[in-house]
Amino acid sequence: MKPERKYESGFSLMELIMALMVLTVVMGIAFSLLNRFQQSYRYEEAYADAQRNARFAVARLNEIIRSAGTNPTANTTVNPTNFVLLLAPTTASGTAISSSSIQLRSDLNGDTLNTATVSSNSDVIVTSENVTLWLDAANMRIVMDDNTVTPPLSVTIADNIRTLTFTDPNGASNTNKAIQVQLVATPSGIPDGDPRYREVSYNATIRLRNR
Amino acid sequence: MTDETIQTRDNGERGAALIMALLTLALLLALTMGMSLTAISELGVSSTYGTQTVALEAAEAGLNHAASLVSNYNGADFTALLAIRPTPLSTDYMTGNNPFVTANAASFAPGCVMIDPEIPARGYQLRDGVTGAVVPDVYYRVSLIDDEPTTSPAVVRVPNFSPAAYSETIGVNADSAAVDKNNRLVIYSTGTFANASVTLEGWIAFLPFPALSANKNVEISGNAQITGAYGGVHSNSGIVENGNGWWVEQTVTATGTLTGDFAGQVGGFCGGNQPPLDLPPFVTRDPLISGDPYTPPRLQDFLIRRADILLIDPDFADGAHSLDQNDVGSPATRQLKSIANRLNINYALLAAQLDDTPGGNVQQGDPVAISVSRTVPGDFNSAGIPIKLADTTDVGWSHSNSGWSIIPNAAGASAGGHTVYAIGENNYDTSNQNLASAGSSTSNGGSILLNSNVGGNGAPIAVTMFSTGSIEVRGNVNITANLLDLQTGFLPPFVTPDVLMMAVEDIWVNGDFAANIAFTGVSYAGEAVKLSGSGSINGQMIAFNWPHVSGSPVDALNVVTGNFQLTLNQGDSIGRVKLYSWRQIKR
Repeated sequence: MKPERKYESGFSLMELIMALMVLTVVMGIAFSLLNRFQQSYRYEEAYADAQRNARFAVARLNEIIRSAGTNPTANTTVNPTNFVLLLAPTTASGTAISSSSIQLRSDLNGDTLNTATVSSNSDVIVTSENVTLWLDAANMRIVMDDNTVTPPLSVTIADNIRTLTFTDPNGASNTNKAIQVQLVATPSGIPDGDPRYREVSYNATIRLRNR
Repeated sequence: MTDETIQTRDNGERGAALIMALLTLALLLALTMGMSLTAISELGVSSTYGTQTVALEAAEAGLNHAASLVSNYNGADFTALLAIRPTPLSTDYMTGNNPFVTANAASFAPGCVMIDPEIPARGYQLRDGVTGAVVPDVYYRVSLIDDEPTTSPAVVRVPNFSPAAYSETIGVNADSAAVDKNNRLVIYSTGTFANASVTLEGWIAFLPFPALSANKNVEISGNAQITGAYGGVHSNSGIVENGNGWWVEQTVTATGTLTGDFAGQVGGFCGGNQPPLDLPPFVTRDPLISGDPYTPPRLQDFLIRRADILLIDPDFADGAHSLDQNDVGSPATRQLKSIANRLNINYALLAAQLDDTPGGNVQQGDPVAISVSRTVPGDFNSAGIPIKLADTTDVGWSHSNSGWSIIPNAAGASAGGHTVYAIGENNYDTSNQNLASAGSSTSNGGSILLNSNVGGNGAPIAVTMFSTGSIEVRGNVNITANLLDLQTGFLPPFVTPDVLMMAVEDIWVNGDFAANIAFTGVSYAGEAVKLSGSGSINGQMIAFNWPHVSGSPVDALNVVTGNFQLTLNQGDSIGRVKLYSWRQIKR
């Protein structure tokens, strides 16, 4: 048996070195790939987050804007062109055609005024009868102000929004029967100088159901 | 041999390949999982928004479906509609109070699709509008309640609704969830798709058109007052104001523009660029014979068949064939045939009543009053039996070159208690049916002119007047509608206006006209309306504004001026069932 054992050699040093070198090269390539994939994954996730964020923001704005002008008592003093007001900047004639802030009025409690806030556990989407949706550009977020209290009570609707524009699709005639919302959401955690930096742009036309 | 084989198997160099393969596989697996995670999470987000959107659209479909059924309800009023809900009422406003089920289908117009709760918790399954096939997993359920405020003790109420001194909470039947007092109802529609659910609240009402509604321009001036719960003005064109003595209690709206300074003279909203009102064409095409409004001037058949007295201009039927209505070469025959068919009166019978000298063609020299009864009383599709009265004064009317007139303070017969249809020559230019050419035509016959003291103070004459021409009211006239609670195909069956005047051409009220006793309803002009002097009407004026023909008393513009007072307070007038307030509910 002993003479046969001389053939049971392990890997030679050279073999080991070669194998390790090959393994190192392969692992190096693999890990660098993995690293790049992971980076890509992170970027894609941020991009997907931005998309999700933008969609949520549009859905929420849609939900809030389309109910504007609720008027359960059919009060005739209600000015239907005031359900939605595009705020400054205005044109020379004083009418805003597009703006980053919008004021919505409705009568939730049937008192024929737009000055109340119904209790927060009520069954309505927005509890205030007079709100302003606007872009807080410094903090890159969309904010809803409840104008029925002083100072206005602010609630954040969506974060990481770089631009927000409300437009009346009827242009200068400004009939406020529908509002076009355009917003740009940014991916969080990716520097905007990065070549792979991308923003998400959303555009939706919301018809006012009470017009 | 065995050992050699073992040596061969033990050759360690093949192990490196295995390790490499395993490592590579692990790496690939990690990458794949990473990418999948992103995709899966994005899919989840899309799916959530998608289901929510479908649920919202289902809820909206339910709201519109229910609103359409409300306007096709054929019962007496909204209270009767509330009464066909299941009992006892569900105290949850959102569920259970659904009258729109197949068991109640007879209460709605034939052919209506009901909203049956096919799955009790989810409701009716949405159908494809084209194929009628069910849409998988999309449902809506609806609940109908009266508009009782949140503070009301009614068993089911509207949440977050607390108006001051609301009509449902005061007077007779106050705070009753089963009795509607203001022609308003609230529908809750919950749409579901997969696990998403959205509820919408819709307010539906019968909303009368404003007291003065017109297709063309309206001018408001002088010290005119338009008042009442529906005391507003609307034009599907523009509105011009003049002066600062006039007042409109509710809204002044125009599809076009407002011209002038309206500030401080309108109680409600005032503005142009508003949606048009779909005014029903009471002066309209014949549903049986094709043609346009100029082919023969006429009023809607089911209205004029309610006339029990026909006032026919002299010479109207002169030259018409006495028996054969198909002698269409004669314009007089065509004209008489047109009237006979619309009134559903046998042509030969009518011709015989108008003929002064039987034999040959009709010779009608005098103005004629004909009494019409129906073979089945009350059924206006049954044949009319015409009986010529000995004299028009037998029903309190006289005729002059100015048209038909009520004899003031008639010693014998009174015009009161009748619905009259004044019929005269059709002067529209039928050879050229271009609407624009109408201006060159002379006005029609069959006009009515009231210019004396008709109806004493506090004792109005009940008379409803239809005219193939125009109706002009001057002097001190006190009349009220004879045709009450009219049902028309243009309105929901439960809206039953009273009708005072309907003219193919103009209506001009100028003077101390006072139809303000017990009257609520409609006056309708095929052309224009002018209200002037110090008269008052408690009702609604509608101007359809077909092009003005020369010779009729009002130019194309509709005017309300002088000290005229137009008041509309009650809902029995021309209007529409409308879903007028909409909001999303959080629950």
